[in-house]
Amino acid sequence: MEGLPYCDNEAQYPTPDVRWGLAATRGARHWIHIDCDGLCTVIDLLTGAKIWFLYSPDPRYHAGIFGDIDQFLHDFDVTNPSKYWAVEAVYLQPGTQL
Amino acid sequence: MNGRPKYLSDPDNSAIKVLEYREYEKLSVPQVQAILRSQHIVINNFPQEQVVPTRGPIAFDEAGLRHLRNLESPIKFQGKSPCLFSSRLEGITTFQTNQSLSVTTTPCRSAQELWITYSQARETREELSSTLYRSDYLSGRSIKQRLAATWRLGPSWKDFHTVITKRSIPHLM
Repeated sequence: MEGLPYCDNEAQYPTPDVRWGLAATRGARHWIHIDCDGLCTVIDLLTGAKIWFLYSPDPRYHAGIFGDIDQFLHDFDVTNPSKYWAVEAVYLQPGTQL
Repeated sequence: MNGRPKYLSDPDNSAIKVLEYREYEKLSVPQVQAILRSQHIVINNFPQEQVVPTRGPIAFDEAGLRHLRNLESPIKFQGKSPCLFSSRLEGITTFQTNQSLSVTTTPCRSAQELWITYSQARETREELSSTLYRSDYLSGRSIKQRLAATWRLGPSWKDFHTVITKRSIPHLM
């Protein structure tokens, strides 16, 4: 972002506060979540690998399913994706940016 | 689909768009934003030196961790594992009495301190099953007793699930 027209090098942009390093041992996982504040996420792999599951509305159901906040209430199970979602996975390795 | 991921078999309807870096760098900002309206972008062969200041391979070790931040600077750690706090037992104040540990933040002198702690512990570790962990809580075993026993045995490497550190290297995305 820094150096681009909307965020020049003199901008007081808190880059260190929005960029994170993450280290995890083999087998570590995140449960289902929406990345912080709905902001765009960029991830660079430096070593090891990570498989990333992306959930989106299943076209067999209505596309606005993610606009229904009720699906995240009532003891939402972060280990069990909704049947109304479609999922795709991508395997990330060093040299890959998502 | 047909044994292939959707981003290969049906790329127009996939949530993922795969690009080579040489293709990506030719795109204008509006073109990138147009893709991001409906798809996530995966870039292959992204130059490592644009992420960290080295071209060499990075291993999962102390040297590799140094690429994330200065390991000597103070940092706070958060987590559910008691092993994270083994070197600072006095810092434990907010554990709950149910079966799960509360997320606690505790100061640590540096990321390097934590790394050394786990490197040493891995050499002598013995696995503690999650059943034992749960039984400790059900039996009312005190947190300090549990932590002391855990530390004598050596923490399970599996307990060191995740360390999140602020990256201190400003650079272009």
